[in-house]
Amino acid sequence: MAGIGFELKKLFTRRELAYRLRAYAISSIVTVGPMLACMMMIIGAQLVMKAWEGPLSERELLFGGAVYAFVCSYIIVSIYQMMTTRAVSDMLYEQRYEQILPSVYAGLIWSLTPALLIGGAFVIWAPLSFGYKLALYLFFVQLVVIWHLGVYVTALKHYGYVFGAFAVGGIVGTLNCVLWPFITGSLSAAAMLWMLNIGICCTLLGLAYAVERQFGGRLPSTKGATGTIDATSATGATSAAGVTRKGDLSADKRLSDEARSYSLVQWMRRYPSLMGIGFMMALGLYTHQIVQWIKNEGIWVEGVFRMSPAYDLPVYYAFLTTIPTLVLFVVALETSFYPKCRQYYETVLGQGSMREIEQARRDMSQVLVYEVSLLMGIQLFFTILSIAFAVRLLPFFGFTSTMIEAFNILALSFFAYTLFMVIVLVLLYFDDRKGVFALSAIMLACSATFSILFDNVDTSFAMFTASFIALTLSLGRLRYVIRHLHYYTFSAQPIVIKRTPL
Amino acid sequence: MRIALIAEGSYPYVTGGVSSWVHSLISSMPEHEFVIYAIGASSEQQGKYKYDLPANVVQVCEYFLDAHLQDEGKWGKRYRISPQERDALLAFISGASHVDWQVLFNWMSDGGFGSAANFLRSRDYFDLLSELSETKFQYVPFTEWFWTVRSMVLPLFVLLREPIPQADLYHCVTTGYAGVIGSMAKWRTGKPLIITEHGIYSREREEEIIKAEWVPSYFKEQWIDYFYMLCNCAYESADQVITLFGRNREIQIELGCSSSKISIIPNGVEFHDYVGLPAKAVGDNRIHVGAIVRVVPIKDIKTMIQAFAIVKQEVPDSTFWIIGPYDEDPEYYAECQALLEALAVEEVTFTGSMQISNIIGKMDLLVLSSISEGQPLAVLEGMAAGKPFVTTDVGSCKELLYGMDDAYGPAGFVAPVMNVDSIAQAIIELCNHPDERVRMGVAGQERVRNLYSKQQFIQSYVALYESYEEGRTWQASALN
Repeated sequence: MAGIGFELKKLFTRRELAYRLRAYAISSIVTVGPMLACMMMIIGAQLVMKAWEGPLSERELLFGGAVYAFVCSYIIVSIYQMMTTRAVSDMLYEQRYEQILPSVYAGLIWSLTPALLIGGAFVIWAPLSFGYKLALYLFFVQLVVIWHLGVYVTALKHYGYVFGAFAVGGIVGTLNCVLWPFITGSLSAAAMLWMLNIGICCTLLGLAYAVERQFGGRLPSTKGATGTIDATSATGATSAAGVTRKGDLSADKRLSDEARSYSLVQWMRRYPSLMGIGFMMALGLYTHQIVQWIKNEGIWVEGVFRMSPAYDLPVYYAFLTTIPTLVLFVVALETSFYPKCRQYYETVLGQGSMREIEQARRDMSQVLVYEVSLLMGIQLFFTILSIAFAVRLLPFFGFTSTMIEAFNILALSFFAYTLFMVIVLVLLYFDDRKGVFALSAIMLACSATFSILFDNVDTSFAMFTASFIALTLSLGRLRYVIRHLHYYTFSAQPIVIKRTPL
Repeated sequence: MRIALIAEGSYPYVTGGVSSWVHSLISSMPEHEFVIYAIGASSEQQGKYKYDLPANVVQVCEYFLDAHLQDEGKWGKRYRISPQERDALLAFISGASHVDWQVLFNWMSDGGFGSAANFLRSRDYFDLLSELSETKFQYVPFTEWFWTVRSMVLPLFVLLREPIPQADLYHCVTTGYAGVIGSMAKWRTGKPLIITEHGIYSREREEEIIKAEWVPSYFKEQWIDYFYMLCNCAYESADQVITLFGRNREIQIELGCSSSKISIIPNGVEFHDYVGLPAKAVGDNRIHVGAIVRVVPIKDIKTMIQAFAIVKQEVPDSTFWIIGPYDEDPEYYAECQALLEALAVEEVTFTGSMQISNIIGKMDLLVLSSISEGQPLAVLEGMAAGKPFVTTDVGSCKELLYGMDDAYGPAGFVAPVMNVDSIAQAIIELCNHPDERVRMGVAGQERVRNLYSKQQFIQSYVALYESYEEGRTWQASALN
């Protein structure tokens, strides 16, 4: 998260329920908003098609295309996403605001290039109607842009715009889907995708406007705005690196005066591991599904999309069970853990003696243990609840017992995976890139190996095993890093500061 | 015999007393081969010698305190440190008065040590620091302390990892880093170690640290302790410690050097080089006051300028010549220029580096306002040229100007350090009394001729080296 903490904290200090609800709403919007809005629109379109008794082949085509666009765009953007988050956090912390907007465009170029090429190859190759291919191409490209803007959305202060963008996009998309059959009587996947595209386009334009408005011409140089950004922006990871840069910030400012341009290549050279981490984390999340598509149980949809509907639907719904963690995590991290983390690094950078630094570490560690335990508890509660309800409710959605079984295991898998992701982000607050790289590699390797080795029915169990191994290891790693945090903070710093110029 | 001369911050990069001393020692002993182990402050100095090296210099090993900039190191390395090594390291890091250097040298020579940067980023080092901070430095800001200790120990750690040149005898021109390198050389090769201490290194560093604005007050003591620790290492390891005059010997004993190791060999100048130098033009009735110095803070040029401002008011036809290089510390030179402008003092000339024999004869009197000195060659040279002196009470200046119960009489005045008025009054006194100038000039000239000749100085070192050479020959014959 590039930083929504201060705003949330401000809201949480006011005790009124309305404010508290607003805080959760904001964190929901910026964290799960993009994904949820898209998923809901697709489900909406599916329901409309089902209600109008559209042909199954078209429904499958819509679903298949949407899932592929979703997975591919997410994986492509994930290569740069974590690094961009770090870059934006650094820029905010070092007050190099003028580089933020260039970074939006640089990231877009890097994400869109492979997206356009892959999409182009699909358009040329796929034996589908031109209208459908073009609609899917546009859908895929728009998703890439939205995921990318999502990084910046967390750093925005104008949540109204963000909310508006998702709300308008969602409503327009869904309304289009509902009205289109009324007007034209057509229920083709292509038409539905075009309708969704209009909605997504609204969201995209809204987000782009919000990002441009925040980081464009009017830089947050006024006192109030700077204060907000100061307090919110520095992730722990940045603060950790801040130790290196003791007395070096003036140099950064000088640099920013000289170089107002942003080059993603320089950030890639600076944080190459973050690219690997982002990519492996995303791939680790989808490997089991991809393996499932390839395996015998997979089917060809229109000879183009290899799918596994009996598996894909449980995955889709199971993923929704992680929303509590995704929302609560941001609130917990930014309002409880972050201030303690910041306090630790402030004690380190300030005049703190070893005893004071140790006390700050203990305070932070205590909060972290509490928050992570609470998060695990709440997520477990929701997961169990979901499993219980799933058994009763999912049959009404056409789920078979095998699908429900898969859903149950997947819900538990995502419970572990989401918490694993939380721990990974906390580790990145401490700049433990090496550790996280290893963890994400292990997660990916386990997920791939188990998915391939286990029987078809057990692919969900493969994901479950991989996620729990990753979660256990990440908890161990977190414990280790927290215990030896002083060493990490101090001795990880080079003897001499040699920074890649920006 | 091959002698390794270990010099720090002086020969061959910087001109000045110690460097001149080294140069004349080497030049006067063509029968010996010399290896120069030069420790410079900055790598930029590499190969930029201020002296034409004599033919008997067979090798120059150059090491620089900023060499650590080349090595970033890797973190996370683990070391196997025995309890003994741990104690030695703890003592070293904390600047304890006694460090088991043998253990430390042994440990650092071990193949598993790797680079200094690796060790300073290792967990073992951090654990040692944390332990120290818990026990000894509880209340200091840890981050500052961490970086202070790192910057304090890193240059020495890097130097100790460098190869030691082969020699039959190691001769350090100072204690400090050079002294520790000499000690390591002795430990590694078993060859004798001699130290010649011109000024008292640890005292000089102490003065520097006390005045330094870049060292926070709560770290001054630690820095000072650190330098005293380095000097103790040299005193402990040396077979012989040579000093230039009695007062230094007393200080060395006070600092813990065994009195039996210390002997005195004063500096000397080639007396005949200073006789019949070109004098000032006939009819030039102005009074020329000269200072043969490098323009650096330790020479306290600013006090000299302030004193001259007073002199100029009393003796309007006086001129002031600051003879020596001013490129060593450009910032300080600029400050001196600014002070001159602020005081509106005229007729002050910075000559830069030049052959002093061309100008020294034209001076009526000479001044030295140093804060710290050993036995300044500039004073010996001025005295040899028959010039009366006004010096501050540093090093052996008092001994040189007033003599040690000899019959030559005073060769000038000694004023308290940084005391502008006293220095000015002494200069005015000499300006206004030409007879006194002559009398004191002659007294100085006689004292140098009889007690501080280059011949005596060289012969003493010839004898010193020979004593080790004999030992070597004896050892060799015994082995045969």
